[in-house]
Amino acid sequence: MRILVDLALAAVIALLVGLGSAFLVIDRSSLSGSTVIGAWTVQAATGLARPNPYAAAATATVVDLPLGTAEGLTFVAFSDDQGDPLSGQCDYALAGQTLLTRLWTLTLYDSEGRLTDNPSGRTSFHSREILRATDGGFTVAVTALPRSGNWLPAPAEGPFRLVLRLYETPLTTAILPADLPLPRIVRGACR
Amino acid sequence: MSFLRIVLLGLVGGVIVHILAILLVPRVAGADVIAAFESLGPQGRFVTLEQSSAGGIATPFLDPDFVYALCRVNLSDGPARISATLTAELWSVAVYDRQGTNLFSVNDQTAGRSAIDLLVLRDEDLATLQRQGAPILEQAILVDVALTEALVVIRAFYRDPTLLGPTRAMLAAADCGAPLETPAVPAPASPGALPL
Repeated sequence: MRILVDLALAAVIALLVGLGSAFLVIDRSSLSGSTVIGAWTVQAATGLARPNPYAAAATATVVDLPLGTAEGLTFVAFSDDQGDPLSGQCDYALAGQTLLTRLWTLTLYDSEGRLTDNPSGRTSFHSREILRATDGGFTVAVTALPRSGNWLPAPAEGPFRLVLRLYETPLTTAILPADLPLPRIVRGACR
Repeated sequence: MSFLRIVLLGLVGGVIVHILAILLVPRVAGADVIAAFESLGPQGRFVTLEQSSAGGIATPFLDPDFVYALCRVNLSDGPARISATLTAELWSVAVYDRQGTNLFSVNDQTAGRSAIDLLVLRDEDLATLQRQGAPILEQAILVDVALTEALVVIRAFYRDPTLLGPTRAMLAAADCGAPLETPAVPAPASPGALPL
């Protein structure tokens, strides 16, 4: 009898560890053979004809149409540069530079992939409309509170993620310089 | 059994469960991109996806600065010829399998002109066309896939809201079942001498 209880306990541990780690990996795709630069993770399975099992699993849980090699790269940020999760209760400043790509777009989604409802109707910025400094750099205020300049409205509360898509970039997942100047995400005040 | 043994056994089992879960998810989770868009319309025709709006979640994680047109193709009846005039500032066409893997993509710069002529076909159809010496093999970009069903997605960027309507109309006019015999795109302009 004792052995059965022990085995059951081991099975429970096995399920918790196995499924828990699988869930974490798939949800964040953080270990899906993908590169991390600052707060940004390259989305897995971007245009790989035979993605690894992690990438296959990560894309299987979401109806998603990953960009192919000729289309571009997708980066996702769940947290700021310090590693704290992005939250609607905080203000963030994104500081970026010119990127080696024909076009980029920066979009804010909730965890279900919805855009944020806001009076200004702004849900994203692209590189051909963003206000830039004289050196080509730009800052985006990501907050629920209205701001002047490049303001990307965040939800008033709850977690969110930022998705940066580089369209028709010569960069590929295979050759990503570690010093790729992706925007820095710095947290400001929280409410 | 000592407690340590139980934990060790649990961890080893956990590794096995983890591997099985990762391998099984694509089969079980059912995120089947072809099935997901089945309700949009019939096979063999392009349908533009509803733009993502705040709160609206027709398709999650769409880029709101792009218009998407999708066509489900069934290759068991023969090849599918995708033909469209695309004058957007930036566009791309991709072919996906049922699992959502991007098998092939081409963009406006690699295509070299503001039109796309793509022939999605299976190996056996390619062999047949080659035997026949079909002129389409010289005209279209060939995408041979080992699938009977695939999803073709056109993305087109629009710079500002005034271009949304025209961009959507342009993508809705894309032809997903162009005839193989005629040149679908009028006078295919030479992409110019590519530097080698």
